[in-house]
Amino acid sequence: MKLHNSLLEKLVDSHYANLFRFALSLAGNEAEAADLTQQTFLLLATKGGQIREIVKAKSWLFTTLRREFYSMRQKSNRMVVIDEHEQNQIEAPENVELDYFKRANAIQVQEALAEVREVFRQPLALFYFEEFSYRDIAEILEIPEGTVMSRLARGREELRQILSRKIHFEGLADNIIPIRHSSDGTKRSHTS
Amino acid sequence: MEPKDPTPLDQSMKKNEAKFILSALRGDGKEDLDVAAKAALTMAQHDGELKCQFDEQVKFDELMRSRLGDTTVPANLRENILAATSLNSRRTGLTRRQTVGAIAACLISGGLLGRRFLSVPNRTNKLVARFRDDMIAEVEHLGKIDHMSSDPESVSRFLKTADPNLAETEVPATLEGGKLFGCKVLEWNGEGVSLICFVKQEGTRPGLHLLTIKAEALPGFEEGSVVNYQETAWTARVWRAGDNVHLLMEKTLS
Repeated sequence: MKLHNSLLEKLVDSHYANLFRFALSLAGNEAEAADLTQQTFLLLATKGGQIREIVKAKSWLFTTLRREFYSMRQKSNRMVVIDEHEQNQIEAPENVELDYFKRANAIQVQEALAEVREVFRQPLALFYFEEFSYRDIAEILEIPEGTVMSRLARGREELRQILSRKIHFEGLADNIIPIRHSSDGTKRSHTS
Repeated sequence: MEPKDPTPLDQSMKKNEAKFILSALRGDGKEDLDVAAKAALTMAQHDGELKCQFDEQVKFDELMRSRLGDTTVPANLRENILAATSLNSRRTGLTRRQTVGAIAACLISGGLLGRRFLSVPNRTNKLVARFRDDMIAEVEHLGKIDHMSSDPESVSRFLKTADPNLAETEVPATLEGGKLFGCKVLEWNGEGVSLICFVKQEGTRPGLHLLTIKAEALPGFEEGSVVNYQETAWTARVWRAGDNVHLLMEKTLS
């Protein structure tokens, strides 16, 4: 059963951007993320009629995209072994205040999120990109709610550490390379 | 509004437990909370340290959400998705207006098709010739292709999703000196046809096309059959390999 075109277009407009961002957080590169997003909507177009309630379409899209991602990974034998207990060796400033993070731009945050271990990154991305509750996230990731809570807490902590390290080291780099500010406020390195 | 007094559940909840639950909440007041989440929130309202931590978490999350929301999305992604999904409407049948248009187009092109048939050797199956002519006409008026990619896996995946009958279509990365450019799904006599485009020179339009259709759409075209065509603008070859019939066509004049 197929989905009506106008409804499909509405769903594309509502979710394609965040679906792409979620795909980017999984795949780590734009081309694969765009492919995954397009693939997911194609599946929606062909199988969307099977979704019992249209309000479930959002969850369906994110669940399907994640499954497609793993299916792609399996085919290319690039399956990543997930170890929730492995510790990331992160050296970062301790007791960082919220104001410190305000220095981070979108690219730094995106890069920091990409460095968070996959097992924590997935729930965190869903938590940030769409207004999913921990119950929705549990359904999408097919894990218990308690596990979502724990992964959100640990993922956020990991993100904070990676981000503060990024800001810290990029700040150091700014001090090492002489920077002059142009009249439009953008930074330019001295070359002469 | 004053926070209500802790309930028995609040009292039995440990601080660490409440912190754990709070880590999964947004704190925007829009969430559908269960009993434990409500209890954790109530506890945070009575515990200065917990409240401070939760407030900080909510602000951090808002900041992250706002920064991540600025992540650039490819400019043509929406159009590509809509173009790809519109294949489905093509398969649901033609509207009345489209049917009238299609009949008119057939009448106009009838003369051209007739002339082409005359140049086809008698022994050649007319059905195969019609398939070739129709496909040449499609390619000559090729608009935007459905999926642009030089990655065979990506093209293969697209075809599989667009039409499960095309799941086994082989997608080469290069063909006759042409580099994979992308694909489009067409329809001929109700059967899906994969069109895979190759480009021989960077920056030019695809000039080499490989089309594949299920052999059952061309009854009588036996295994091992090969037919070559040389026309004014196109060189084409049709052959059957297993369950598929392939048509390879290359533009000889621009």
